[in-house]
Amino acid sequence: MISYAFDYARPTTVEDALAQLDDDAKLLAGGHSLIPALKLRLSAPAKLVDIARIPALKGIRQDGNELVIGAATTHKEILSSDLIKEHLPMFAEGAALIGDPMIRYKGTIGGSIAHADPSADWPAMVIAAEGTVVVQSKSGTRSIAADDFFTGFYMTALEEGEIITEIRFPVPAEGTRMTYQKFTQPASRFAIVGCAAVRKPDGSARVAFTGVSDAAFRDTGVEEAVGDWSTAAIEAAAAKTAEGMELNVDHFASEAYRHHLARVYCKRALVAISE
Amino acid sequence: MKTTINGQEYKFDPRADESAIEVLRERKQLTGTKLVCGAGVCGACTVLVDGTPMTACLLPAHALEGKSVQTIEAHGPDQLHPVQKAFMAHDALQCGFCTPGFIIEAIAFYDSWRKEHGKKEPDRDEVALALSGHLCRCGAYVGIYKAVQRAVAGDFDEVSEIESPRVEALAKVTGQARYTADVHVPGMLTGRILGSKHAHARIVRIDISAAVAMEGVKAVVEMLEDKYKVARYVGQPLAAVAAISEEIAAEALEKITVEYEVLPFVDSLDEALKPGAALVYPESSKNPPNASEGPIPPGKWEGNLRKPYLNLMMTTWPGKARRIVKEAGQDENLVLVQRTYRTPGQTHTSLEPHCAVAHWQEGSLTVHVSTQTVAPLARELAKYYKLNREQVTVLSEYVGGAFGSKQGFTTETRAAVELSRVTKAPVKVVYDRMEEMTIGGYRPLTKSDFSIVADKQGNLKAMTGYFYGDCGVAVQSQCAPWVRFTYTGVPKDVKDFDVVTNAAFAKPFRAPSGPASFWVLESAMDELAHRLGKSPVALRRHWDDSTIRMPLYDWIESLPAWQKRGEAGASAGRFKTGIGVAIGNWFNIYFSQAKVEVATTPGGLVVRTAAQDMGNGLRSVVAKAVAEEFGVSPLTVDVQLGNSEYVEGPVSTGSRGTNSIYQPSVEAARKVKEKLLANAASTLGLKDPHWENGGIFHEKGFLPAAEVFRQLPAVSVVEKRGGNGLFDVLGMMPSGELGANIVPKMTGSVFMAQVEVDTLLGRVKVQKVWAGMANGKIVNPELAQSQVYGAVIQGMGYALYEERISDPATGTLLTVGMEDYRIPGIGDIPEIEVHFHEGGFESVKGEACGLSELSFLAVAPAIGNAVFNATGWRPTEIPMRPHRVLEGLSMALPQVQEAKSVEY
Repeated sequence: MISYAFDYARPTTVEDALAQLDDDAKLLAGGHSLIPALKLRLSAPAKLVDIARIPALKGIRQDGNELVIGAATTHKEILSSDLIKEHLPMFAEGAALIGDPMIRYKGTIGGSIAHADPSADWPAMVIAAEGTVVVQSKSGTRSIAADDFFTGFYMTALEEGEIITEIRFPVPAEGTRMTYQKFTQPASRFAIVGCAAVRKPDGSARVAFTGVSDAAFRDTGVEEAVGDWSTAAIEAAAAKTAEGMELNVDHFASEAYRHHLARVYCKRALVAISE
Repeated sequence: MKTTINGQEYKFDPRADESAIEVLRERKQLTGTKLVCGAGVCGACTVLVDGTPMTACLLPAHALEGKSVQTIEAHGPDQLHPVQKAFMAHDALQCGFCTPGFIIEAIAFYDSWRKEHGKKEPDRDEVALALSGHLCRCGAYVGIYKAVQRAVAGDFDEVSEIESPRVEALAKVTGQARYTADVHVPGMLTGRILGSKHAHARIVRIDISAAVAMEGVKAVVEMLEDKYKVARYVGQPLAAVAAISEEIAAEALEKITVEYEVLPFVDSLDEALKPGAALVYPESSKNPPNASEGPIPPGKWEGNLRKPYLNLMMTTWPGKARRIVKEAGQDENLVLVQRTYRTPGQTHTSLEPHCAVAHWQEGSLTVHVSTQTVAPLARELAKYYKLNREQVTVLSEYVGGAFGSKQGFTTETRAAVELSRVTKAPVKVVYDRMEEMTIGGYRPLTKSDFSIVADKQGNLKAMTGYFYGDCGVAVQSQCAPWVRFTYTGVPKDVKDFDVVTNAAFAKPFRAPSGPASFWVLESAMDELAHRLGKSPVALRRHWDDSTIRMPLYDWIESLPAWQKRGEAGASAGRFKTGIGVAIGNWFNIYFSQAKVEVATTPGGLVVRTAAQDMGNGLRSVVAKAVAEEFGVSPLTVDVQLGNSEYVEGPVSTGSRGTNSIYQPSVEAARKVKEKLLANAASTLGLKDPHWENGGIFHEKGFLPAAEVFRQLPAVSVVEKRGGNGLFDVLGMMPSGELGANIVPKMTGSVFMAQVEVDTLLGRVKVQKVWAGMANGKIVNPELAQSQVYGAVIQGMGYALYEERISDPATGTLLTVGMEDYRIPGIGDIPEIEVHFHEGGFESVKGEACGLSELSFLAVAPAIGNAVFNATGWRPTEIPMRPHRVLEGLSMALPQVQEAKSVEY
């Protein structure tokens, strides 16, 4: 468990980071996913570009009708933020469930979504909260809707040479309710299943899952079935969880057991925000 | 670049790929920070960076630029933090390897909690959340809870003197205890091992030329010890490299090219028994490793199956037993329970991995090694390398967990010695976590066909048990003896079969196959009691031939939780609670040749023996035995262990430590005292000297112990334990290497567990365990209790979580990291009540018997029986992971399906 040799750079601006980010480089944020992978020699970048100390990538602010979270903002900073507690309470609740204290001190939201571990917590929450991932490259910036961002097993819509700079969320309308519910893999503390659910004042829902399939996904089948949020409707919606999808199987949960858990956690999430 | 470490500025120029833990442990030799999982899961490497706890193993060295780092060394013996004092006072540690990481995190928690809540005591859940990033394999969590709660509440803010029941606690809480993994010898090379990539392959050729030619590579040696040149499991050592750095050694391994002729393999017990299965040992001459501590009895091979020959010791009226079982179905006065049970491979997961530093010099071999068998290892090395015993020194001052996996001449030691023999330089070999999990050792997997018959009045009639053990490429899982020697006097046909598979070899793990045996026996016993409509405690009392357990049955029956227990499956609602009981039986083993030296020096008492302390407390037992004779504090006794130059002490296997060393320590201390008194009269001219209250009283006054040692000439006494006379059974274990004697009377336990089963999600929560132990005199109650806590926690891991899993397509182990192999964390543990019934072993010298293994045996079956009592569903397979519980419940209880649709 020792990595291949690599170079290290710690730029202080996004532009510097982009200049350093050549073909064989990888971005390093909190390091809790990347460094173990390097030690197992699953990944062999020639250079690590450490973006943990770029001020422009850090912090949480309101920008008009949007909340903006810098990519290098840590889980701990998010769960402690008053702005988050006020507008996106699901993020404070969910961030507190990530790993253990040391992971929360180091790990970042941008690192988590870029890594796109199929069991990571942020992807489901970012999808449910209608996030927009803002990325920058030498040729400029572009925005990717969270719905389109997670494309497969550890795969995202990011392209070579791009850095996630921030994730933007619409400020939820007054009366919006949201929750993140998670069944934890007890050794790694990743989600065996995680369900993020939002109920808007008009009664419409956004529901996303992680841990269930090869990538986090929005479940429109559940969203459509939730209807009037009656007990029967919630029951019916939860039953639709991950309908027709291929589910993950590992030694902590079989396909059937994972599906059972996903339905239970979907129902829990829907009930939690139903009133 | 510049950083600040423990308050001092440090300028250095790290490699780009260097990590913070290398800076601390290697550049700065701050070895209190431990490397365990290397993946940010276990927390052993936690340090404070600008006041925030971080895992040093995942932090690039460069990220420390301009930061301030605080390690455990910032809190030395003279600047103890209240948290460290609390860890000492509440015995919140055993082997001590995880301790610095826990303490650093707890200090950060102490600070943040105080800021927010002052001295209000945090509850257990709050402590569990704060320490959720840390793992302790010894299971010291009970003490850790108490220590953190009471430290935060202010108990230790003003305390200056701390008396710990564990004499080496100060060295462990300050990170000063030096483990083999911390040993650094100038000029030391790093050794790494190349493992087989295939589960079964003939090694046609190994080309080391490219590795040898690399700059910085000092030696490459062959490691495959198979006369047919066949690798039989993934990770089997093929070659080893010594180089001037770990990076070069790792690169050199990749430059070795191995030509494999891949052979078919079997990766599981069931596959191995199928007709036409690939053979692990197709050759006519088979020489499998031994997974047990005893000799391999003769057996006959049929494919991958190795059958025993008739063993008269192990069977009583076997034909009659088989006949009763066969006919029980037709006899309406008989009740038969007949099932197949399964238990998993349980990985030892010692936090200190297997490691050794060997230095072969002209005429001598010195080996630092993390081992349970200091003295026999020195003999074994001398024999293997044709040296005189005097030329070999084995050193093992502190051992960071072993649990059975670190016995004798192990692979990492062989690699280190072979590489040092070639290079003549000191060579250090430390398993990384993947190696530790793959080839470091595990408890065998078992599948057992078991039948038990009683008549309707509850009289036990017969048992048959056929135990199939999967020790990987090894043999000797040995479940049958425990069934043979429990509930005796009835016809029994019990036999062990070995099934070899292409997996790394199993090793003894705390009560080797006893936990599997008692899982089977005690689950079946409980089911039979239920079928007979009898109290399972009363029925055990009726069957039990051991008087030693009778007071423990009384104790269980006196507990309100037992008296209030409901009928099986009567618990209503989604969360069902239940109570279960099980017993354990353990051989009472000791080493009659064990010796200890007690000496005085002008500075005080010194005790030496070539034994070792893996965290189970041998050091403290010896210190206490001697200190009590002199009426002084055990902390003033300098106990020196872990050096094969000393007189030979016991190995740390078979729960024999206390039984072997306690009595000779007392005797030697007594004799030293007599000599001192004689000298006091002859050299100091004291009249009527006698020893009392920590010193010599004489006609004219009192000379305290410290003065006695300073003024009188040094004396030394070596004392041997010796046998128990007629009460010994000799020769049940090879006396040469792991010498042992056995007292026929076994030690006994009765355990009770209370569980809550979530019938919607399948989770089993153990709420409380009552541990009743009868193992004679308890020498050091606090440490004995800590041992039992640890066994309950490891036993709960075995019952509920832990399971080795390999990839059927390749035979590669999947549970190679601590993020995949789940050991209990602090938030999992139940309340634990320990009850010792002392006495009953007057025939044993010192009257004190071992307890480490005894305390493990009954945990899993007590939990399984409680799950049955809660739900009415009988588990036969462990671990009882949630999906298994749900599947079991759905089959047993149709109403569970219904419950799922209405609850959430």
